[in-house]
Amino acid sequence: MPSRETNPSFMSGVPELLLLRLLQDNEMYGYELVQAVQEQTGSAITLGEGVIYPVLHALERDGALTSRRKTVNGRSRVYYRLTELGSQRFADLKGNWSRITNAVSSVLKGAEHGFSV
Amino acid sequence: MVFPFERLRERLLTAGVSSRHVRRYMAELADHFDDLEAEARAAGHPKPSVSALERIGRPDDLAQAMIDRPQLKAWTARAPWAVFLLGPPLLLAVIDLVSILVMVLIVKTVGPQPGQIAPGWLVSLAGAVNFFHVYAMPLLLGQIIAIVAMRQRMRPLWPLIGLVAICLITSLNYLHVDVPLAQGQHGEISLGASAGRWTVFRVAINLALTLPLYFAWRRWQPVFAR
Repeated sequence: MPSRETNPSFMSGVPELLLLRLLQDNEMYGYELVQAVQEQTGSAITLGEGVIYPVLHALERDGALTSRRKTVNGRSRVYYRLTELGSQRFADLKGNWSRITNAVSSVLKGAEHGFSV
Repeated sequence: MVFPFERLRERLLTAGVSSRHVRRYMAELADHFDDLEAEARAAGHPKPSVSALERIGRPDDLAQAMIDRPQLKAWTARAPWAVFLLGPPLLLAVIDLVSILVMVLIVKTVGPQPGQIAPGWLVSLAGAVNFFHVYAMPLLLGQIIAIVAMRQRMRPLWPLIGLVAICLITSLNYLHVDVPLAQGQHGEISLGASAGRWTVFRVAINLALTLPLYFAWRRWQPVFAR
């Protein structure tokens, strides 16, 4: 079966960061989350849509999320919500991400202007 | 189109992913698949189900994403020795304790009144507890082991070890209740373990009752689960 190209392995950890961020504002279900990621990243980040659920389950198991079944428009769905622990985890991940992106950016800028030793 | 990931369920269970997470994953994937199909149909895609399948992900990726997460593993996969060797004896101990407490409570509250003998139902109840403990307990615990093993699509090694162990333990263990027949008399509850010439016979009977049921469970599960 053909498969859409998703992002390579260096993106590991990014789905978790994005999901925690999106769930900070609202409780959402899987399909909604995938749509929101695509919309807010301008489709620059494409998740294998089904594999979002293991991330959500693991986050819930770690206490970062809670879930509840809710029926909307006659359809029962599992909605996820961020917990206190999840907010803390998001803050930590965000801090790490900022440090890494700043470090990579400074290396890339250095490369543009020529390295000096 | 029918949701096409039935084999994924079996693969995840066989890999040791907790049945609770597998059930929810399947439900969520089915919902997601329906949403993607509806989206493709609305966009005028000629084959909406093909588009939905392509977007939801390959079965291998969907399985691996779940299997790679150790938090989602069932206890039967993380520590089968605890589930099949420690769990049933612990449950037996709890049932023994609850049986004793319930019998003591019943005798204290509705036991023989002054000048009367113990009601017939109380004597029957004590008999039922004794019967249950000797004959039904191995079957009950054996069935629990079989159900847990089948739900998780386990290979037979650990369930069989658990079944043999529980047949042995329930053959050695005894709980016997004698209620006081009149006020002022003493009842007696004895709990312990003993081996005698009947023990081997009891072990054989228990094995003969529990093992065929386990193998019947295995036979009844879907062909691709084995």
